[in-house]
Amino acid sequence: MLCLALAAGAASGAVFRSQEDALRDAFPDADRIEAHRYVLDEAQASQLRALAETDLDRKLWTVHTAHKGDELLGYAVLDVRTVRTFQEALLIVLTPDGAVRSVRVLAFHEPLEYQPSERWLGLFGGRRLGPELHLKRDIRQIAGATLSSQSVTRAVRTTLALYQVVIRDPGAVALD
Amino acid sequence: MDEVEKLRAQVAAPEEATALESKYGLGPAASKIYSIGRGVSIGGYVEGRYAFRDLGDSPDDNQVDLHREVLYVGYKFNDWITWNSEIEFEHASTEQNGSVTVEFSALDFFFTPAFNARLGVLLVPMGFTNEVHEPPFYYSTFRPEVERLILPSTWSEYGGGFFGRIGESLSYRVYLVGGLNAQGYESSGIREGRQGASEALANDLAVVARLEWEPLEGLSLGTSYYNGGAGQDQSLDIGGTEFDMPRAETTIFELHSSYRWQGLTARALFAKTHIADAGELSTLFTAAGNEQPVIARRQWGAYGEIAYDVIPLLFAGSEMSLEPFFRFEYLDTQSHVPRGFVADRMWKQRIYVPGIQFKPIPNVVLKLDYRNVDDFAGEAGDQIDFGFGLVF
Repeated sequence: MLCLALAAGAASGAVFRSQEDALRDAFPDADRIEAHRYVLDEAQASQLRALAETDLDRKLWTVHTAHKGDELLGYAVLDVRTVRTFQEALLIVLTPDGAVRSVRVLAFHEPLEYQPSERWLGLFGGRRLGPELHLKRDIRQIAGATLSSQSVTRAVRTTLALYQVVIRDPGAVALD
Repeated sequence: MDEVEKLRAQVAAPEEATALESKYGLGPAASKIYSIGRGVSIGGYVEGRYAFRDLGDSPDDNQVDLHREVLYVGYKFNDWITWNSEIEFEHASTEQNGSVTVEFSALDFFFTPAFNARLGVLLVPMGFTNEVHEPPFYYSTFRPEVERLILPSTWSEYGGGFFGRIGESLSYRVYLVGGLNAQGYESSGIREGRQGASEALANDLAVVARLEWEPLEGLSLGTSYYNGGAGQDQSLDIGGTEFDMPRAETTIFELHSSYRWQGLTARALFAKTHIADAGELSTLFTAAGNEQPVIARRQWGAYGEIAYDVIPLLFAGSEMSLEPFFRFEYLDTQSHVPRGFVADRMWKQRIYVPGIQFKPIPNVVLKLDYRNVDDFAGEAGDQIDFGFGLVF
């Protein structure tokens, strides 16, 4: 349902993949994957909020970049957010030009009935930030799992907005 | 600050693979899941309503009711054994018209995604509403009548069985549960035959199975089947003489489908019940002076429902929803009464429910609907319902 069938129930969620494994799966050809941490300033945060059309609960973001030699293979952002009561961790992978390549659930601590399927996550493939990238527009709501579908859609929009605000911006400075 | 970011990510998904090991197929379920430190979980839902019935040809008393206040409590022992329960307070007070019920209390054993086991008080897996009955997740203040009179939700029985998901699109449940008690059967249906694991008679058991298939994203097709005796080896005292109850084998077959596309949600359900020995039951219940003694051999009902969320058209990305909806129901619990008995036409009904529901956030709902009940005896009245619901 969640929407929510057995509701909160016991926290029968699970961790499926470590970040390290998921990054390696996302970029099997990469010879190096680097983590860059960004702290958004107020202007960047409000720009990100406006682009993503969703709330922002943190200003610190890590963007992983994968390279093979000099070639940039893509970006990956780990997004952790609360679904209903418990959290999920998603790895959102972007192509070098900022389209969604894949969305993967690394951990889902809500009951597993509400976990988005691979097929549904596939709806995000190739998407860019736009007015149709919303639930009940181009993205179907998962039957019985409104909150799960909402949280993934927001996470993807946030990552795509992050691409525009910091990744694509040559002026943005990473902490490391 | 860097550490805060790392910690945040670490809580939800471990950074390194070393601590992960695959257990019982739950993906490589990690022992680090314990690090989330949540053995106990609590959730719940509440629904209240105002029913305005002083209208139409059959006016009745208006009513306010805190219909349900429910607590979910669960405990996760480890990554393959969990306990889930739902404790329901109905109608606000046991000193007035209320009750307290354990709606379910299930011990789950997770083996593989395709094969898991469950034991305890289980929700009978039929239809849409019985398992998913939280107020934000069905339309109208009152649940569909077909899922009250033909599928008697909320329906739970003690039992055990298996459940799982095969691939991405197929899921199943198969349970063996305590049977219904035919002594509770009425002209209005089998609803009062539910035993709810309360020192329930278990001389007759029942099998219930459900299959759900999602061939496309957004489209779901499902069916369920129930079969079991309901006589429970009981006898009925009529004028000082004991009469044996027949086995009253009860079979319920149900089909349902839902479809979502953009703001559209459509659902349809068909359910049909067959009761063996209906003639004998009706004869006994008539002799015993029961208020609703005619038990139909065949009972059925169906409904179709359509809703459209207009908010995405106006404010994309908003978490609010505003959904006008319409449901049409048809049910007949006296569809085929035994020879020599007259069907009570009050239980043949057409129900029209136009309404609207607003969710400021997905967990909170306000509902306004009009329920037009057109029974073939011309006795039922219409009503306007205003309800609220929440889930957390």
